[in-house]
Amino acid sequence: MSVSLRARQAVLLVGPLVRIVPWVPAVTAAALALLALVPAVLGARAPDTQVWGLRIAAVLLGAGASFAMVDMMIPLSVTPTPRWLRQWLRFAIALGPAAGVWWGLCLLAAASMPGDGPGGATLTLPVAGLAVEAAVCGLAGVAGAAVAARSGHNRTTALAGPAIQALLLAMSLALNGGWSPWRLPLDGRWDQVHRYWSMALLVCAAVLLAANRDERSPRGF
Amino acid sequence: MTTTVTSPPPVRVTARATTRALALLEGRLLLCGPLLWVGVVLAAALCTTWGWTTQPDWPSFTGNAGMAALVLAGFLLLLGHQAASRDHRYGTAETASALPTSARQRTIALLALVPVAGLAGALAFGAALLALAPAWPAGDFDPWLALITVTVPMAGVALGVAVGRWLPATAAGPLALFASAAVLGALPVLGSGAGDLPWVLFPVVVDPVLPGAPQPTAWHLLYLAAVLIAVGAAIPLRHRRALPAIVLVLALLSAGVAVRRQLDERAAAGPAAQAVESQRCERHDRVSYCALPGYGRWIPLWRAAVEPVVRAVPPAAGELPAVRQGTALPSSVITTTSWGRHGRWAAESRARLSQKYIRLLLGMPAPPESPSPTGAEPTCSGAGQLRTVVALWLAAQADPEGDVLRHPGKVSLGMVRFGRAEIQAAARLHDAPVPQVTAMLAEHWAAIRSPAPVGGVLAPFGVTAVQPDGETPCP
Repeated sequence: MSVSLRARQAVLLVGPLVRIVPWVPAVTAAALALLALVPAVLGARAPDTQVWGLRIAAVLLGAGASFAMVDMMIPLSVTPTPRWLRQWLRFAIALGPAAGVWWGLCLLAAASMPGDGPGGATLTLPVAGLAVEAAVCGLAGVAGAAVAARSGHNRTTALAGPAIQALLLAMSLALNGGWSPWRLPLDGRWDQVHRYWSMALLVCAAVLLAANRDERSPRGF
Repeated sequence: MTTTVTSPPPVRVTARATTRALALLEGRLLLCGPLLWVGVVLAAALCTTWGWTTQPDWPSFTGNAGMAALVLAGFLLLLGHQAASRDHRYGTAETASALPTSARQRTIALLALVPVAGLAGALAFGAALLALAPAWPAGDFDPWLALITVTVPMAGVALGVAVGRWLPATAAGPLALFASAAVLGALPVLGSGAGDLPWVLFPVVVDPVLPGAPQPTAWHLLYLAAVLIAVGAAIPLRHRRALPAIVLVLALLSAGVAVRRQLDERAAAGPAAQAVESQRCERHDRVSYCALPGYGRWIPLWRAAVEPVVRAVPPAAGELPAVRQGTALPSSVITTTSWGRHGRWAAESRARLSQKYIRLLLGMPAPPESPSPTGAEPTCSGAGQLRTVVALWLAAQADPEGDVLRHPGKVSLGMVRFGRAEIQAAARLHDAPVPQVTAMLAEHWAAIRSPAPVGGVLAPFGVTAVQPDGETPCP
């Protein structure tokens, strides 16, 4: 198949997919993510509130986007487009706005930072590190839903995404003290921990690649 | 032949019986689901992991168990939502409406999940307690704090069912979970002190109130129970009844009163004095060890840190400082309600206490109680002082591994800085026979407890070149 044919198929699919992707969870998640930044905007302790608000926002946005990964009509449909193309389109349609909302919240959090920190140092948000954390928090849910969507096609299939997020969050709490991945920007281990976050991002991307690949052709076809 | 066919009399099934049967079914379904047990095991494992490095005591154990119960409550919130939104999820809301049992009866039956969640919380608490074996928490057992670990999962499942009844969409469950986690996570960030309103609203009591000081834990449990009843009342409120609305309002009022009382009692609680009065003292080898109620079994741990130091102190030294837990008088060393359980954590606790004891014993300047706002701690130079060399030797005596002098970073003499010359001098003393050193201590004890220079006191040990470094000497 030529690349131009796939591109044309993708363009044709965008409209229908935008219509059928469940937007209510995504919009609700975005509204709740905005609420998570309210303490930061109201002037609570910086940078803790900004950092935790952005982390919670990423988890919520990822949970909302997970519901886009399940194609409930697939058992009934025979389509000329491969599964990988449809799944990656769903991914892009759900994750694009979620990433945009998170970026907007990040700008809001950065604007809510006070001018000076302890000892007169200027406080700034380490946006790159937070973006990596946010990508992992969000993609863990989307990847979990994408894996579940390979075999499940009903309303509860997408719950696998938020369930994986909740399980990983709960397990991360076991890593307390020096092992905790939840660092604050002034912590000396911020850079070291973010190398592990980058590795986790690669794992999420690999799981998504595996989950969104084509199904095997049924035997005899 | 004549056959008479009679139809059996109609079975009368009361609404109460059907509700009870449905409640039993809901409870059984929750108990048989694997996710509940994953939550119980995870909660017990988290509680065990968080307390793995420290000697167990009731305040920290119930705090850890409460935080683990929050994780279990998260699982139960999802499960409660799944149970309550079952009709919607399978598109059977219309079919179910034609059944003899009403929607209200099915809703009431869902309340059976609440005691099952309490049972799960109690099981997780028991499993975490068993995982401590053969150890047992020290300190006084507070039943109100322990009951929090049962109440929190109950509130979690009640919230899940309430959300499921009001918002049955599949995504509402996980989003409610993350929103609740966000609210709970924001509370400690918003509260700057342990007695602040956000901390009082947080379901688990994790602030380190000194044992022996009054702690309004019964009011806190009442607050949680009121929240649980309020959330539970929101479930049948879906069917527009007056009673749940009244219960909801009363429960919220009770929660408000309980929070108010907690804030008042915390503000009125006297600080350290009551804790000192509640200490129980034992005397071993010239030193008094005063433990808070229930912590008496930790005294051998403190003795292991202090006695190697005391053994080298001459009898002429007179009354030796006491070791007091939680809070101390000026002539005593304070130890906390935390102690390493095994391995390097126990060694670090031992070294911390023995070095604190050495600092007080030798009259070294104490670091300020509150950290400096700029982060830089004030220091002074102990270079060339006899006291510094003896302190390092005593620290080496208290270290069974004997590697304090090989890794001087392990020694903390508070504000007192020291250099390579003092470490080498202490190593010379360490190589000498202990009776020879203790004889020297007895002879020069007054000089050792002052900022006097080394001079020629250590010449019999081959130490001659220890000089002050010219910086601010320690007083």
